[in-house]
Amino acid sequence: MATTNGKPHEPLIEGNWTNATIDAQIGDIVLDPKRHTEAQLKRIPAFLAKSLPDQLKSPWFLMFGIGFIGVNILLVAITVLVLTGIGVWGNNQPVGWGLDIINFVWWIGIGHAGTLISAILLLLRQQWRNSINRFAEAMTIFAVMCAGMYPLLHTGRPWVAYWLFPYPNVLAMWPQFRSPLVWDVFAVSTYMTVSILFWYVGLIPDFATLRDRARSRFAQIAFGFLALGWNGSAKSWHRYTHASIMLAGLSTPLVLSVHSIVSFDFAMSIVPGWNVTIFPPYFVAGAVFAGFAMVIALAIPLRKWYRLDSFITMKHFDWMAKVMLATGLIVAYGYVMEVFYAWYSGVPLEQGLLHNRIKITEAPYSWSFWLLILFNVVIPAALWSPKIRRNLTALFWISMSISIGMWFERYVIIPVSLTRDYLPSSFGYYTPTIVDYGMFAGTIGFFLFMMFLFIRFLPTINIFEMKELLHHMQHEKDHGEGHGGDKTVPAEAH
Amino acid sequence: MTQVARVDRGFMTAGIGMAVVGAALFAIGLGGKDWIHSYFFGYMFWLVLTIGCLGLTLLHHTARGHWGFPVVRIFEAGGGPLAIALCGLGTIPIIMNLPALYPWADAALVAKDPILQTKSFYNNEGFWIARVALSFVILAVFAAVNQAWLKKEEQTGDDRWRQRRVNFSAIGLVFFVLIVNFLYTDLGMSQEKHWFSTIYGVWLLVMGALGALGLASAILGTQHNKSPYDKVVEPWLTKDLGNLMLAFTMLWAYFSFSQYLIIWSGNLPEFTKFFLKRSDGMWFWLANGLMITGFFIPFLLLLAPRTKRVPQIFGFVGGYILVIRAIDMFFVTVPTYRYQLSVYPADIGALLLVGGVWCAAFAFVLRTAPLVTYRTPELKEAADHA
Repeated sequence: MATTNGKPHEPLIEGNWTNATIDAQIGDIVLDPKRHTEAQLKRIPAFLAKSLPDQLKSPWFLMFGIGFIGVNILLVAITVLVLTGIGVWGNNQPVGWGLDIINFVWWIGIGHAGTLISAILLLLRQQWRNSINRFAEAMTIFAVMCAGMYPLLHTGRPWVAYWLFPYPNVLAMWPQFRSPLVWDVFAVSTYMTVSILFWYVGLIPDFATLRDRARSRFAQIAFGFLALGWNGSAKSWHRYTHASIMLAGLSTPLVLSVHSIVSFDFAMSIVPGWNVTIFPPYFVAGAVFAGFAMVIALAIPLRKWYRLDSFITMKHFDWMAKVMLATGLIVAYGYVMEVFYAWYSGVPLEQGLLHNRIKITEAPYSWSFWLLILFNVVIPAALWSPKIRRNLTALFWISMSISIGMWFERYVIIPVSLTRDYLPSSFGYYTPTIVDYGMFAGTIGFFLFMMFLFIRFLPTINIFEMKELLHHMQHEKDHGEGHGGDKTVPAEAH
Repeated sequence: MTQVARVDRGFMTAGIGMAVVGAALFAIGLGGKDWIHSYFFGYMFWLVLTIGCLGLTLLHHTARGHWGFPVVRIFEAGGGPLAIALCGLGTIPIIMNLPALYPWADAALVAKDPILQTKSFYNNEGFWIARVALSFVILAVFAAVNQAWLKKEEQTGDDRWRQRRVNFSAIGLVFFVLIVNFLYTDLGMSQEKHWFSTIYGVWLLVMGALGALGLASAILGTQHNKSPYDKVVEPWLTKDLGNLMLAFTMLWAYFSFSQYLIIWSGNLPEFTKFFLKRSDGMWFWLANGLMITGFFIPFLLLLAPRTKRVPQIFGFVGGYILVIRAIDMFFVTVPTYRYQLSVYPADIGALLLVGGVWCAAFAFVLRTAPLVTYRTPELKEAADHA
């Protein structure tokens, strides 16, 4: 058995599995509808327990239902917005950007973990990514969809959003290429395209597995169509491997570029607190931090509800928590730098901004700064403890804390700077409206709705990569002693 | 029979040679007013390299990646307590000439400048010296503790020392980044009257890490066929180290470009001055040259699998990156005082003189322990992996 310092390595797949049982355990989440109704919720109000049919008491229906309600809220919010105009949001002078840009950046950040896990960890040969990459990629796509809605609707006329693309036209309209908002259009749309492509390519072998396992004719045809004629030949695998590596190579700079460009939305301006040179790496680290928090927050219940303990092990959570801790420290470093250099600059406007962020008794938004520190720095510091990293309840709540903290981070950056600009005559206070909150709640609902549709109809964990991992583990177990006696190299080192 | 790598001997000889030539060249410029600026450039290059070595030591102990085991001795020698102590001593000429280097130390200038007056609580001679001295003491303690615990672990084979080293490095890395950031702010950034940049500390940190990787790669590349490197310089190692150099090259370009773009776009007087000086006259061409030589060339070279497979090419690229870092440091430090691009003999002299002392110290530390050791289980694991 592989060891480190005489201690056995924790396997990445626990228990005794074969290819067939892996197919059944993961594939049947899609093919067997009972898998979504069998897990019953224990804490349910008595009146609901009596009135609801049994199948509606399952976690899948509960989450899908919450998502569905959220989608309806979103539709109402968008309808009110489109019919009335963006004046229904709380945006007004001096805050031309409010919850819309805050939520845009928040969602884009969450959308980073998927590609990071899929692409960067693939290039780094980290096999622990195999159990979590599929739903993290799905999360990326849905989070980017949520993010995209905000700037699209903020244009005021989303039906002419295509004007943002440079195409020859009789209006002589041409985007302002010096604006980072235009860079966003290209960065986010490219990221979305490559993420979908990467996700789909990764799904092809699993579609073939589902095609071969499906019992209904409709499922066989649907998955057969999606599998693009995959036959498992060496040629198919060869092309698949090349495509994956190429897409991973393409996605890696995209992961870094998207959030760097999002940071330029602020850093390119001259607003105090925005023209900050650390913003690009600090935003990227924040995105990974938020993305991993969301992956953990989703993985913990999914693992329990669909009995995926063998595939998403405590080792996976430990690794993810370590990544979160590391990126959280980079983010905390960013906060220290912002505060220190605002003071160090000696520039009254920068020092004023610092005052507006931290002075509890005098600054109207200081509460948000201190909540940010609590949620993003103080609470995640618990991840230094190995016990906490393996305590799923603690990890879940720390992840939630980070998700909230990252939202506050954007809240601190945006209204605090905009409400205290260069001219005291234009100082103000930003208050979001119910439509703002409706949009935010609605996108959370949309995200859940899409995630639980994905869980219902597509394999949540990469089936073939789990089988490949199982093969590696088996190979290592069988041949370990033949490799020079003391076989000490962990599987993930290869 | 396989030859034994005598890296220490090579560095000692080179160090003595560099010191002699450097002292002669530096002596030429001693009479002029610019000598301290030349010294500062030479000093900063070796300081940033030293801190890069220490940073990679801490990173390696924390992450426990296999790539680090065959080169950890090089990083320990380059970023060990002796090198840090020498860097601390190297600040003496700077401390003796503070007004020539730092606007905040020039009383007449401070009297006229309200921003400098605001910062005088922080930037004054006493506090500045205390901060710099304390930073070197803490960094030296970090290096010494790690080195001592690794040695203990090798001697006793006790796994507890390994765990202590890992825990210490993980927490140490957090403090290391903060301390180094403030040290670079004091030594480098405060030379500019009003300019500040939040990315400056990590920008220099990445430069140092890149230089340290270049140094290690150059040693491995030139000594790959000699013992003990002949047993560890395998394609997996050169590939991993090459990929790390590629990542740091991209990171350097990313930080440099982001910083420039944000400052250019903001176009605010307190920020632009730094780049205005560096885009004037021939400095402009050096800046553009650095873009090509510091990013595009190493990027394309390191992208090629052959570079990371053939030890000689790999070593050459490492050496090239190290040389480029010296030019980069020239670009970062010298334009603050020199409005036209010119290279004085004292610049090269300072670089060689400080470098000569550094190389001699590096060789001295290398001599005290085996270049590669297999005593601990992890080191054995790396060897098995090879």
